[in-house]
Amino acid sequence: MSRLTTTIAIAAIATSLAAQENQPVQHATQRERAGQVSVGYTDILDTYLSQEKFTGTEFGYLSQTLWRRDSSKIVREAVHHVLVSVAGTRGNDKSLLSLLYNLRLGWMYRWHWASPRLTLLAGGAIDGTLGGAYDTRNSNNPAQARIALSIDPTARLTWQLHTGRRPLALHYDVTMPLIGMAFSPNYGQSYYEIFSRGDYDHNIVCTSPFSAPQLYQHLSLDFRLWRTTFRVGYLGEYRQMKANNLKYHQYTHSITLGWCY
Amino acid sequence: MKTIARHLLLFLAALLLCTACVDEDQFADNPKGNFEALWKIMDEHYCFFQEKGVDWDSIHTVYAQQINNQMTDEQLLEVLGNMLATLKDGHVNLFASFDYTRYWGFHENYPSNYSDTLVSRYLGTDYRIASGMKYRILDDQIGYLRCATFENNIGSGNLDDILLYLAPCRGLIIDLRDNGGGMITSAEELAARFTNKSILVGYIRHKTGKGHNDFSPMQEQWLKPGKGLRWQKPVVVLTNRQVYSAANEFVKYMRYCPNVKVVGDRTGGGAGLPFSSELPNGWSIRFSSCPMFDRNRQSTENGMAPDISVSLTMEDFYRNRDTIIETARKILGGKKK
Repeated sequence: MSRLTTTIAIAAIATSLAAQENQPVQHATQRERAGQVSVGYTDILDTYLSQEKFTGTEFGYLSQTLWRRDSSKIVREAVHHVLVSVAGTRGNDKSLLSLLYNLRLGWMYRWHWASPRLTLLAGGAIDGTLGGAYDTRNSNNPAQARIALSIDPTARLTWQLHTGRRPLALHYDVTMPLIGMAFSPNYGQSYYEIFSRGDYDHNIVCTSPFSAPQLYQHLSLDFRLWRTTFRVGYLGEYRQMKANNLKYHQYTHSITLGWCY
Repeated sequence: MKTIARHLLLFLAALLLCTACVDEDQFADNPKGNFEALWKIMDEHYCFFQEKGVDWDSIHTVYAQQINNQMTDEQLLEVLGNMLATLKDGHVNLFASFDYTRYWGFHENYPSNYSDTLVSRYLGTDYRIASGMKYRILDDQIGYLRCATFENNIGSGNLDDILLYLAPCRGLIIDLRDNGGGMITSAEELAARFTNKSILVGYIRHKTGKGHNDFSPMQEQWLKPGKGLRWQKPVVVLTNRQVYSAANEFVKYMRYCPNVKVVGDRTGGGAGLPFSSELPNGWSIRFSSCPMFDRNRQSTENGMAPDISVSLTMEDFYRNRDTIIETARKILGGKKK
């Protein structure tokens, strides 16, 4: 009986050890988060609303999260960007209000070099934009919806360095929408026809670097102060589209300030 | 891996080369620049050059000679207003801070066929008001609905209440005279109460490019029955030359509804849905952009003739009688006031 009990006990321990060996190894996840506010100069052209350019101020909030498992070379990225702009033409101040929300989900491969301490991330992202602009002076063409979905090549270069005992990190993020779809009214089509009557006319258009050459770039510097990592930078966004004989651009140059957590 | 990275960077660089600015030339903010900007906006967006028989290039030749950079704003507005008046379109206006140009020849050159004094006499003081419309029951059991504008949203519940109140009447007069338009959706909301089935009432199209004849195919306009109370008895719609834009559309819809007669003068027209743009000096320009047609594909830009043409007579006016309302009452079987 005693021998049987011992045999069962040994078998149980062996099974337990085997089970432990079969369990997946838990890898730690490295996560980098940053929240930043931005303020900058914006230049908007939308020939559906006006032949005149609108210039003004753009305010924004940018949330960027990067995460990667220790054992993996793949880095995932999520970017939420909310933009509000108030702009006017040469003749009329503050006549255009614009609101945009941009979500970008990316997957990038990671290369790392020890000296200098450089990290390059490169890959692709799914990019969605939702928003609109409202011209306070127009009649049947008072607003423009901005809805777009694209696939973007995206890259991020990080250089970690020291000045004295202070660690610094310099980042450069760049993204260019490659191919996608966007909403556009036709040249002289009213929103009454689209939304009240349901008369559509090439309102979903394909976008490419030829019809919608766009660029997003962000140069930022991380530095430690009062036990917090702050991030300061320059954000340049060049949104453009030519569709249905209409032209649109929104160029924004902003200063960003935020923190990493 | 380095090779992949190098290729990726080269690919991004190539994409950058594809990137070109999407931009539009801006005219100078001086009289010549503003003139050229206005001429170009109209040239590329206005929808009735062919209907109006206007050679816009020759208009440029004529009016460019009248522009110089020493002009005052008042002088510039006058010349630009004269240029736009060649289009004879009530939907074309140039708005400055001190005035706006307009073409109102579609009603100014004709008798008004409307008198506030007379209408007030028919309405009295105990009329009802809902959704901006005044209504009452005349003493011969004819309903009278004064619809002076479509600038307000017309509520479905308001319409139910109006039609329920007027339900005992033997017929209904909709007095649309001097209604200069407003929201086309309000015109549809009201007209939808006078049909029990979907009816084809016309067509609409829009410009698809800068050419004067770059248009989309005509899209059918269907009037669907309203969801609330619907009027089943005879209706007379009263019109004059100031019935314009959305009100003109309302008449177009009503012409195809059963038991409806249009009485009065020809409507003013205005069958181009207006768009807006802006000049370098900040003046706003409004212009016809989306042309609309009746169900025979005929433009209603120059108005529509009534079924029964009637004008206000001086004799009736001095007897405090509105000739057009009295004609409508006769048609509906009421008595003379």
